[in-house]
Amino acid sequence: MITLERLTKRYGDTTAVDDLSLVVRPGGVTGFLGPNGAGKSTTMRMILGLDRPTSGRALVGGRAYAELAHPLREVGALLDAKALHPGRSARDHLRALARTHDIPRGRVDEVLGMVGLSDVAGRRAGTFSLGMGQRLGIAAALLGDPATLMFDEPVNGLDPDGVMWIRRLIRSLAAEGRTIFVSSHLMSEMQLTADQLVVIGRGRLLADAPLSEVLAGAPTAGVTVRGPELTALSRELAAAGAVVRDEGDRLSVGGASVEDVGRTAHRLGVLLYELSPRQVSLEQAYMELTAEAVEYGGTR
Amino acid sequence: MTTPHPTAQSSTYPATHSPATQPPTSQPSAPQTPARQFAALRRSFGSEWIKLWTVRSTWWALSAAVVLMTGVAAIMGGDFAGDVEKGEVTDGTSMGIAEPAADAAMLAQFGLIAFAMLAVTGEFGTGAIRGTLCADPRRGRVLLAKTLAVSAVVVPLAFVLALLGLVAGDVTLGEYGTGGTTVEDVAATTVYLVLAAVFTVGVGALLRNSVGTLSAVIVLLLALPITLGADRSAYLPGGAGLNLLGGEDPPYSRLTAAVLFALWTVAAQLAGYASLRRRDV
Repeated sequence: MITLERLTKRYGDTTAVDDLSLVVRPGGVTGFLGPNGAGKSTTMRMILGLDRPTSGRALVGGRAYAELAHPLREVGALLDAKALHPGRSARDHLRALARTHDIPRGRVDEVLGMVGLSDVAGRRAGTFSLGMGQRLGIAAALLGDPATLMFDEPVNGLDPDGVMWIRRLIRSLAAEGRTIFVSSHLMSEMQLTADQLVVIGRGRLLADAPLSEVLAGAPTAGVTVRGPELTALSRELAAAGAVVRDEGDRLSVGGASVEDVGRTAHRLGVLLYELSPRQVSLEQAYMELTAEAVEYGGTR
Repeated sequence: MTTPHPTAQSSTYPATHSPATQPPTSQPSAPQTPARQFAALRRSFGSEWIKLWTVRSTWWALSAAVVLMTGVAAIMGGDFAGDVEKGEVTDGTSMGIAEPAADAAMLAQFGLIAFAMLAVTGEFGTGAIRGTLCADPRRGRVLLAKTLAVSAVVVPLAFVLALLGLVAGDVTLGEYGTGGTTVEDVAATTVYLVLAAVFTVGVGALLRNSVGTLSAVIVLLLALPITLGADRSAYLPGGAGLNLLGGEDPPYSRLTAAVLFALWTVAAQLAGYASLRRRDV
């Protein structure tokens, strides 16, 4: 479990993370979503004790990261796949990390196998492609078999195969009961992997809710109604305060639930061919959320 | 000798996380007893040791130190012997056999300085320091582990270098070489080289990049004594170092020079520690 308590990071006049409080609960995938520069990486670095918060604090399992006696056994992190010595082989890189926790050498070979790098383990990491570097970073994160994993933009710059691989890996790690905190600026990616969503913009928390709730609660979510004669229904719904748009053979209703529309139609005896909730894509929900943040967010 | 089969080792280690046996918050908060602190330092030291020997730059830097020490000491001794034979020497016709090594140390030190520097700045330059500090978030301990790992290489190597320089000087000086202060000279050269390397680790932790660190160390250890002169730089790190190696008319004893240089080394380490603790990585 990761707990952020009023976490704030300022660089001079710029506020990168602004009074951020949230709890990443165990089990499942929590997506950490926001446009580039929203403060996602800074937040993750503060969780790992790499950046010092200006105020507030970040706790892992109730303790500051620096207080963990065996941090790699509790939290594994992939921040930047290129953040390793290019002249050291993949295996030696992992061996050096493993040594800090007395992790046996067999585990190094095991995680190399898990990420599919066994055949190139002796090659210098500087010769790796971005995708291979990403796999090595994930092997390092898995080394201590931690219950919590953090990935910062794991699919950035990967080819489709690599993206698929990471997606499947994240789902399977979550299925093992681990807590996954994964950041992305790609809304579509989060829609496929996350259970819970944390959305930030300009360092501020915009939403913290299950994926389905963020989708349903988005301002543009609504109901689609199709039928041969909808004029009466349209008038009644508008009178009840809903926003109704006539789209020919169908109505697009905002501000009313499927239940509301169904009940009204039944009361009026209107024949319906279709009554369905209109799911907005996460993309749209996210744009709405972050657009507001840009509009009303911090003043400079 | 038998090596354990990899799978035999890995079987003691859980391949997958099982929430039933290892809930995330079940690990008790470990009190920082001295024994635990030491165990953690030992592990971090081991990690730093592995890192030193798994990059090529270590071999290049240490080889350079050996070549420079032997070569320059031989040239110094040979030059002196040649000058005496041609009658071009005014201040005596003999030289301590360890003196060429003390002069050569001024150049050979850069092999050790590069080695010590890369142990620190090599990680900052690539971002690898973040992985290091995630594995051991106690920054003071990480700096200590790096310093100890560098020292574990440099202490024996500096002694070997001093001996190599001594042999090269002795051979090339031939009949013009004298004993006398040989043991003291070898000890002084060894101590100087070790302190220069540890000094560099501190400066590297303070400045974080290779160019800045190398420039600062060259200025402090070489350029300042040359530009300020021996008198005015006597109490600065470079002057103290030169007097430790055997300066002309030092204002204090050689032991004092060693203590002075050691104090500057401690200061560099403390500055590096303060910076490492305070700044984000």
